[in-house]
Amino acid sequence: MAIDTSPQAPRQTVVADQEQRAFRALLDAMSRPGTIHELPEARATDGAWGSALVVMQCLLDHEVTFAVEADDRSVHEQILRRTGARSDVLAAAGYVLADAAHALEVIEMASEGYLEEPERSATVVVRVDAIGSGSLRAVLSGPGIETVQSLAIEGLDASALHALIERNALYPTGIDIVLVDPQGRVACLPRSARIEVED
Amino acid sequence: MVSATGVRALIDERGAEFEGYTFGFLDDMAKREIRRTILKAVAIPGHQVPFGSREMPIARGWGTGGLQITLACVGADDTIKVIDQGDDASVNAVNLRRLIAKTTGARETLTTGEATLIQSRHRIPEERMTAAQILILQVPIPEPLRHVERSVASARAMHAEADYARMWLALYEDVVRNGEVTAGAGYPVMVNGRFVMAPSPIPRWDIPKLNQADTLFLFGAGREKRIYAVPPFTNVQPLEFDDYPFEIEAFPNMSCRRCGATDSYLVTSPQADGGTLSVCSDTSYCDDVLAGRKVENQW
Ligand SMILES: [Zn+2]
Repeated sequence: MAIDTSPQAPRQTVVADQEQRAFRALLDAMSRPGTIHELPEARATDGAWGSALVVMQCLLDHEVTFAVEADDRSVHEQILRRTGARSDVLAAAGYVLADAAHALEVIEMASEGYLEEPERSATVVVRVDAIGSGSLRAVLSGPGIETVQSLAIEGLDASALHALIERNALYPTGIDIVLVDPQGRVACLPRSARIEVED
Repeated sequence: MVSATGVRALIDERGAEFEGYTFGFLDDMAKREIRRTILKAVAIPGHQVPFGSREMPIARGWGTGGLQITLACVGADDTIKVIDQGDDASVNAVNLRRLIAKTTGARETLTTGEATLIQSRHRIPEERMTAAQILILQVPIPEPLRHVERSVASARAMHAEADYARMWLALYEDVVRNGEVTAGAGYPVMVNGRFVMAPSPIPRWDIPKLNQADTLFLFGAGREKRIYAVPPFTNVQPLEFDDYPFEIEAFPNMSCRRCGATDSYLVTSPQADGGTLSVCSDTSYCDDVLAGRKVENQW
């Protein structure tokens, strides 16, 4: 039974609407590891960093810290300006954005939290060439997955996933990965996921 | 701080306009923090993640934790349902639903199958929820170790070490004294083999639904400022002993007086004539059975 609601409800601003839709894509992706979801459209001028910036804007404000590890560091300035989040060193940052070339280093260095406060760990956003196609294949199981979930990734080295398996071996401490590609796709590898690498 | 009826007054005073309120009532910073917390909670199933619970226009204890989660998730495309002990029509449920709808433009529904977001106090719907839905449960006391360890810091250390010996001892003493684990509503569960979790005061009847479900479950405790989660397809096991296995409530030879259902959780109330009246706790399910609509209720 549907109920008629007033048409005068407050409207969400364009930015807030995008953040809300980005969050729901992230929530679906984090709840169902390895499944692929669509982010809301990025600004055309953000180019290859567009999807990553959609995610960072959804999650960051001046209450959290971030770091960027990438060859092209122009995105660092954009995050500072748009979110007000504070820049920090890689090992201490709450949110880290990396290109695929720096993924291994970031996964090895980022904060894993503490046994009593495992949530105080880094969320690592990695920009890869493509999600859903590619030669690297992660086979996932665990919470959020009925049997197994296979995820193909283009542009990420297998060594990054092997490092992730090692970093997350002492669950519940560990790091959570958000993969984005320039086509606006997102998939997550939360620390609870068991990962096997095929390449 | 006002009561649930205060929300009614707030809606009346504001009329249909809700002018001066931001979309979804909470400001963007509050939503962002809750969203960050939810994602962490999902990544660590059963672990209680602290958050900066905000003042809401309802008294704490009336579902402020659940409401904040709902408002951080909801978009104008959502269809929302709010239930209070299975009932959409309770004053509390109606007021919460109207607050959410009036500040977001989300559609309201009383029908489990139509909702994209369901906020609930003390029940999981009888109708099997799908992957396209999220259940948000209101939590009064998030700490399952509260009655064996009153110190928050010590309880946190026990979770950190997965040291649940005192929890098991308390359950064992219960069995010795009473012949069973007497915990009724809010029976403690083990999530993903790692964290003991308070499932909120749902009946035992609902506990098996948490295990390997299609649906994401989010738990919000406003007063205690904690959010936690059970992702879909996650192992959730009630704490039990081999020789005293967990059992759900039984309703032998009973049926719903209204719809006749024999396969739903019944609530029984005394009647003026000295007898009792038993009806479905879940009013949406009761309506479906009464109307002859077949809904999947095997979770
Ligand atoms: Zn009934």
